[in-house]
Amino acid sequence: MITESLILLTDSHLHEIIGLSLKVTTTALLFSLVIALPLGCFLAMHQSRASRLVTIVLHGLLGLPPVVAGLAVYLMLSRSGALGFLGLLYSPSAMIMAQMLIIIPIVAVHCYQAVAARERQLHMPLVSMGASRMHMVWTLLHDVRHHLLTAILAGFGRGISEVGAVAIVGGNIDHHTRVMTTAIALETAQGDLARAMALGCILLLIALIINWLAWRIMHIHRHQQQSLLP
Amino acid sequence: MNQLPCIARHVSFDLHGVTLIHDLSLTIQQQGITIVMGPNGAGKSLTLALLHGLLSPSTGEISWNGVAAPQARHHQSMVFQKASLLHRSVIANLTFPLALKGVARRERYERAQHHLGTVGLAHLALRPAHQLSLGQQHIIALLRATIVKPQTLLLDEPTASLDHHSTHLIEQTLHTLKHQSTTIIMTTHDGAQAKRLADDVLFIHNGRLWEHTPARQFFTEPHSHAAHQFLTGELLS
Repeated sequence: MITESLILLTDSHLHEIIGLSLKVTTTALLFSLVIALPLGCFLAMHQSRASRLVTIVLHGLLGLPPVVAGLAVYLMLSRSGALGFLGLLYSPSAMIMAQMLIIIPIVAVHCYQAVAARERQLHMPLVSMGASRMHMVWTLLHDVRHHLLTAILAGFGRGISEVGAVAIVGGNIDHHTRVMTTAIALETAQGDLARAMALGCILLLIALIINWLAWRIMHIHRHQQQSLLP
Repeated sequence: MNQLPCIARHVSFDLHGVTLIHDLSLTIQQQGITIVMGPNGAGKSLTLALLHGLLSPSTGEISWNGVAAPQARHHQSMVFQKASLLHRSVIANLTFPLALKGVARRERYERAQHHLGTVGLAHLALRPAHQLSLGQQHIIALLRATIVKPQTLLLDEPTASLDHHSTHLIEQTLHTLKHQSTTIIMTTHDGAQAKRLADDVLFIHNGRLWEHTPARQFFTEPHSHAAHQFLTGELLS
């Protein structure tokens, strides 16, 4: 299997699949962060009936089966759907949208929980020190950065390992929407289990490398802060 | 500039339909250390938060030299019962309030280093604050509050559950601040500490102010029966 994995690593077709996997998930993650982080912060810092309702819905969405997310995006992008006129079905953009639907609740809920817990401890001290609302948000986010990193990695992991939703909205079209997970599903269905396992190993390796990179970035950031001293 | 007198007029504070502070009226006009005493749950911390303008009274008003409490807060600092340090290095915690006040980066770090040096903790500058001992965290919280040179310093049980050394260091710092004309208002239920520090005493019980007298008088001849019971160690109802 290791030999198979090494052979696969030199395969240009595989490079294309890995590239698309990373492109789709990274893009979905970045768009998700833009929505999920402010949403999580807002929910943590504003107590109202509406915000509680949104929080409950987000928690519920954590258990959303990916195929249901895929189906929702499919219905939206199909010719008779609300966004059908965009013609995005069976494209990487549709896969990004499906992954966003899965990643946003994960990041938003983690962000909400971390910020809410810290806000309870720091609200009065920060107000006492004269922090503005923006300062407060930024300080809280900075204070829970390790939790956020975990949330981001969890979101990335969930996105890149997702198969049901991207298969529905992407269609697993060769050279167009085939990603690692749908390729693994296809190889398994075709009975080429060694190739499927080799692809699985490469996927796992990518996930490990990204996790390691994230922790390295945190480590370097900590050292940079210390070197700010005059 | 002096923020005194601090005047509270008929202040009450309700939470979820329960009145926690009843008709509090007081005037603090002498610089020095005012100790807010009373048993647990008496309303000491709430009184401090109201005076600092962190909470709005349900009725009544609080002013500092004619300025409403929330506006007067800009010239005050508060140390909370929990150190509430940020998840950053010690020096980053100290520079934080200076950054909020727009102090230049180099000056922030110089002042923070100097401030740490005054209590002999300069070697802790780069340590993550949450890795310090409880006593050290409280000292850092006090330094963070005083680095902005507040005119008034409010402290909520700053030495609760601290060891002798940390308590001594904090009390020493408070004495120094008092001699630098900082007005200090501090809660404690430690009678011995109150005796060591207080210039005057506010005694609060069940959300009511029972007594506001000079310290010497409070510890020798308290006016109220509740204060007398508290000082003799009897259980208050």
